[in-house]
Amino acid sequence: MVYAGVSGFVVLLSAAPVAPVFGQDLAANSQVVIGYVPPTNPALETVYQQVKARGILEELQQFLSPLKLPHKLTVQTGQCGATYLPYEHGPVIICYEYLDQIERLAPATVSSDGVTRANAITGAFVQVALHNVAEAVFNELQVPIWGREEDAADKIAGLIMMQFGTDVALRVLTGTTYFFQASSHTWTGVDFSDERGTEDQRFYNYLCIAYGGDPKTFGYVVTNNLLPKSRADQCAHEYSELVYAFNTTIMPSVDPVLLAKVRATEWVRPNDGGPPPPGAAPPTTTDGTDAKN
Amino acid sequence: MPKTKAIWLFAAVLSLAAGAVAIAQTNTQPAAGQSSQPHIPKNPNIVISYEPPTNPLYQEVYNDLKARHVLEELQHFLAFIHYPRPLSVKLTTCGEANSWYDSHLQGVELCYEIVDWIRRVAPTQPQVGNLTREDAIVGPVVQVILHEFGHATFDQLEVPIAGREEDAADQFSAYMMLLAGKDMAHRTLPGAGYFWAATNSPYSRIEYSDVHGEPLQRSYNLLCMAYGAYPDEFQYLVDSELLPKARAALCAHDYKLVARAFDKTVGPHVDQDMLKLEQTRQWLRPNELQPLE
Repeated sequence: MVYAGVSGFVVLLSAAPVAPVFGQDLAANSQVVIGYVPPTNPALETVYQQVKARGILEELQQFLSPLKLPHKLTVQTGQCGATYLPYEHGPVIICYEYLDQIERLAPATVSSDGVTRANAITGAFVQVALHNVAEAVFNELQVPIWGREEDAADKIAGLIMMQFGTDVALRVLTGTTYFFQASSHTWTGVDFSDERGTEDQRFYNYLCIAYGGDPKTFGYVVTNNLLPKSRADQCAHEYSELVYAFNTTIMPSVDPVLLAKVRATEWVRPNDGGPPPPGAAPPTTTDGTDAKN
Repeated sequence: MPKTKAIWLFAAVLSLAAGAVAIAQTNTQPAAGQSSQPHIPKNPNIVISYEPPTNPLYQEVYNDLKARHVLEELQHFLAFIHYPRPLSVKLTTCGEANSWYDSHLQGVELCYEIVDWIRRVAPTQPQVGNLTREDAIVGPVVQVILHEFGHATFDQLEVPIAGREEDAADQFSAYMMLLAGKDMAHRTLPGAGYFWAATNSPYSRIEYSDVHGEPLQRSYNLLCMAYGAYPDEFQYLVDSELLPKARAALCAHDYKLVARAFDKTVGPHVDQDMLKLEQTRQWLRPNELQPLE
């Protein structure tokens, strides 16, 4: 799996970052504590070593710098025993099993729909990271959440993806929807008791955010019949409803000065998700949880 | 004191079952304690109307609903919410089994067809948890009405919705039933859950693009709200596997999220004294199939 500097995470609420720079000058959010928890399952060791070597969580700390959190928030990568753990409170955990699934489902080179392996990996990783952090932020900030929490986390993640600028939004959302399409399976009976939507529902929700936020760039999802017109017609409304929810419930806890810095930062580089460049440092072999803040 | 016929909220709904099935009833007297029911004024901004059906198939439904003062009872039930503008609610013939809120018209339309559908779906024999036919009719009718009032409330009070609005409206409806107390919750939520489960049918992939959840999802979500609010009262849902344990474990959290959302967004528009008064009232009669007078 290659998270080659999935240099992180987005740009809040700015459609067109100007003169982007990489995030080295951004201070980490001192309230965000990170840790790469070593897996006990040897099959997940490679994933662990790669995300740690790439410094994914350090970049997440920087990306979250504008967020004013009342308490310490721990964000970890760890072995979950499943691809997903429901969030109630406590640390945010990005499961190695899920990251492993992302890699396994990504196309070898490019999918029949034109999604590259790099974008499939980058998009799905950004999605799960933003989704999981969003759930914790809902709890930390006591955000009023109407609608299912899992869907709200998806939608907030999607909204943030749309602030990357057109090129990055296309790459990340394409990768995200690829993953849900690739992981789709038939649901029956008690499957529907899951607190998450079906993969197909999540696929359409993300397409709707993309189309609703930028119908010009994402007009192809309608013309290519990926998103039915009956849903597409409602996406502009859904998007404006989402922006309103974000602005009224989360933006009051965002530092505008630091936000401007995040906006001026390029978080997803062209080669993210692709193979590491020649001569890149090998993964570290340090054992034990590496907690930082 | 109000007249007897105006006391019982949604007592109207009971009549929907009256012509459809013969369920043994023996008590033709008003319920004990009825005279001590508190006086609840009508919400002055809820404007009601019964439109005579254009299809004679629904004449009986229309007659029953009107005679039972269903919409008048709704005016009483929602007296504790301050709506800034008039909000109309109309019972009408739609040509489809549906209901909706129209933000341009600031009005809810409830179709006779969906009431008829609910009546046809209701079981003739008691179900798990002693769910009676009458409650299997009362529950979903109340739920559908309050679902649409969820949309109306979100619109009028400019409520931020981060998740999917249709699920949010279901949550609003469930929370209204729970706010009214255990009796109301017990008499409505299992029935509503039954209805959505009974109307479930396999989805094709594209149907997951719908803004509504799949019917089984809606069923589980409603039951989860009930269990999350009153775990002792609704333990039988888990014991009988109507609500899987894996989901049940999350329901207290789900319920708290909805309670928090309600308190923060709708709460400022709630007359707390009126709400407390409403919570002392018995909203459903023991024998809902009996005539009011």
